[in-house]
Amino acid sequence: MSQDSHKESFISKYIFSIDHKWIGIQYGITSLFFLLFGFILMMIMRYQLAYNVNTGLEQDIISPDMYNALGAMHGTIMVFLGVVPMVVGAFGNYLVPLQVGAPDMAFPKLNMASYWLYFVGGVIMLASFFVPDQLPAHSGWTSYVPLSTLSSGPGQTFWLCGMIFLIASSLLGSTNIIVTIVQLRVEGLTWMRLPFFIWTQLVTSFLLLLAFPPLQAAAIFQLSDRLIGTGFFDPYAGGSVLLYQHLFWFLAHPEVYVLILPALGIVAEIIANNIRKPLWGYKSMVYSSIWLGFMSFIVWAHHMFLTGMGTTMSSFFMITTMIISIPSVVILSALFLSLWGGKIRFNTPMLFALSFLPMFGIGGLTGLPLGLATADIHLHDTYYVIGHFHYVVAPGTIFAIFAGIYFWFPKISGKTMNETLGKLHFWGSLVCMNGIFMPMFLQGLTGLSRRMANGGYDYAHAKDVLYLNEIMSISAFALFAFQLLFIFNFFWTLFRKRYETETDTNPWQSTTIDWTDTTSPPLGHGNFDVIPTVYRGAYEYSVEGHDKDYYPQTEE
Amino acid sequence: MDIEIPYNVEERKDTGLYNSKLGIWLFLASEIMLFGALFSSYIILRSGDPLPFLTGQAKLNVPLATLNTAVLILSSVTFVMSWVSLKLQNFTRYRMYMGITLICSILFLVIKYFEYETKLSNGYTPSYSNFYAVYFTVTGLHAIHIIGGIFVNYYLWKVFDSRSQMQTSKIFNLIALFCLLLPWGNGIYGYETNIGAILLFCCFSSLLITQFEELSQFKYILPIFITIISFYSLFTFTGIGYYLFLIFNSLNVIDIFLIKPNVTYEAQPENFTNRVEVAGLYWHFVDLVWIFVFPSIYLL
Repeated sequence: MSQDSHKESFISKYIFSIDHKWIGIQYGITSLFFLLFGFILMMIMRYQLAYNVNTGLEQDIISPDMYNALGAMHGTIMVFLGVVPMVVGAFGNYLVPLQVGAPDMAFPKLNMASYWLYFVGGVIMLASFFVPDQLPAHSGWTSYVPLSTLSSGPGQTFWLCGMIFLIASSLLGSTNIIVTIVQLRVEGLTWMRLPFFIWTQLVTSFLLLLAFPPLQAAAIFQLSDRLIGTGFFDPYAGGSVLLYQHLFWFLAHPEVYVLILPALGIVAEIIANNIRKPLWGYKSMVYSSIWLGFMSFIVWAHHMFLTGMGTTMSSFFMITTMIISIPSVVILSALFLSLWGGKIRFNTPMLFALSFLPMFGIGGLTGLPLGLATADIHLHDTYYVIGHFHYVVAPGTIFAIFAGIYFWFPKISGKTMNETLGKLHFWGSLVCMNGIFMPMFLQGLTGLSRRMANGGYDYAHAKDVLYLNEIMSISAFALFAFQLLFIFNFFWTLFRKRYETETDTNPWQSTTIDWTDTTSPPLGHGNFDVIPTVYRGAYEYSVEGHDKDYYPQTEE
Repeated sequence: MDIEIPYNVEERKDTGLYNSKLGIWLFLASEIMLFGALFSSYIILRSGDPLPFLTGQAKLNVPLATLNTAVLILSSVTFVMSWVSLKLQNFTRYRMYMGITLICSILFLVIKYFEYETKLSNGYTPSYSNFYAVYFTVTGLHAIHIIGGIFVNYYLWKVFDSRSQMQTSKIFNLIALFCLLLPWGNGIYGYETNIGAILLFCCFSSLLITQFEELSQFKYILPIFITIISFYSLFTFTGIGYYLFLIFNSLNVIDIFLIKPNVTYEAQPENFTNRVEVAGLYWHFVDLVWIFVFPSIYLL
């Protein structure tokens, strides 16, 4: 039933495809492009901060307004066009149907619509860079009012229109993923036999589904404030500035967990596979991720301690913020404890997955002072905040993305990426990532504001830490150089011939359905020749009395 | 595509749902968050600055909105009746009830138009005060949902054979022609250009074509031509008659190009009934939103 019996046209196969695998690849390619693009914006900013501080001299390469625009677009592109489409769009689309044993997503055409809405949203965001004599959105990725409603030029309007498309896209995508997981699980794949990755995708999709609509409302309000002169966010017209922040962070805090949960899922898969033993505390990890999902809806105002919303509110959100750190720590501890006594294979995906753990740990722990309202007074809006969330997202989620790409590349192409280049890429990235973000904590603790185009050049109290600007910038450029290794490795492996040794469809000897019951790469639309039946949990490695050290889920 | 997605039609045992039913419930959950955000913004804005809300509310036309509520509830009732008729395998009655639903939902929009018209012509635009900003945003978004629902319901109501295609085309053409000749608004009277005459001529010819089934391959040409001309002259012509003409002519074009769905009642009755049920869930939700909008914006 699965293979294509008739020939498809190029357009229906490669452009407007409804095959979840190809849509996943489309998502992956597009979001990798956006990740690179956002990275380049950041390097321009870092060059500015290290060598071209805005001193009013002529050698400045970018104006302070342009610096703001780059910052705003870097954040927007990385979060909404890079990481989320990568972890949910690419990994979710490609792997969820394979891991639950479904022939495709539940609604293949909606899936296609979801990708193309994302694509249009991305094009609108990119187009704002090319409006003559005008800047793209330059009010920060949060687009706080009144700065954004009053900002000049069409950039902010582009931003809002792009966001409306991206929100529609993620709504369709997340509905699709939830329905696929709930409805299309094969026989025997009960809830507690699901791979942890599927659980994280499920919780993430719920977050996307329920958290994005308030931002849709905020975007509509802001758009009408800008275009038809309403006063939703204008205090002179009786509007409320705080309202925007509430609506925005009601999305954007769950969004943080959208960024990190699928990454935890990817890492859990790779670690379980490479320690050759079951995950420690699988059930507590599952319950923690659900708990995390629920709690993430009631912590949003910890981003707003300094808005004057009052100490009662602050206390409430401070307490919920401390509570939400518990499930994250449970998941992270379970992953750490899983390593104990394992026969660890240190291949490239495992190295990335392993380094994810301490990196995400640093990111998480440095968040605690920010979650305490009193400590936040000092740290708010400094480089400390930048360091904190970049540790979560950059050496955290991005490393998980790399781990996932190295791990599932053989699944997608049938060819394994070069290990030597991969390890070089890993060690270089690890050192450079820390070189960029660790000094930010030092700068932030001195109170250096995160938004200045001159990098704190005229801050008297920051004089001692300004030399770090150059170190961070050099690390950023070196990080880019190491990414070239990855890009080369990626394309070289993609286009090289398949080695004689690469006939094994399950090179990592994994237990989950995606590896055991389909070929690598999977043939055609429909995935499975025979619909598999599941008999056991996802992580039955080194089972006593079994001849192999892994016991596939579908083996009786 | 050859592949078949499991549980597209039949229910899955352990969840008791077929795919699109779960999908629509999730979509509605997301919609609740959207309207929830709109209503909470309304509460926050109103408690922050109550005066413009009270004065603005006093100017709303409550009887008209009450009528609209009744119309919308009626449309929901007939929708359920249409679904029940399908379950009882009476397709003719299904089409009748679905037709009433469509008429009611269009009537809702017409009444809405008169409501908006009075507000806007008296200068109560969204920028007049925050009350009108909220009023137009919430009711406007609701109206967009109604329009979306009308398209879906129409698609489910339509019969895709050449004969009824010509019939619906004829009806759209007639209404469009009627709108063009409407004495109120501006109609085409008073235009000094020849375009009005051209439109009139084309409309008549197009109507004539629908009379002859053997001419059905030419049915595309004139409506497209009319649409292009009428959009082109959008900036010179004004008036409700002209706008309605434009809308109905565009609908005619959309209708001509609607692709026959691969799920029809004759071929897959169960699947088709599921589609009607899912569309019904959405329609009831839109109705329910209005049940919240009406008291909170018009009455309280």
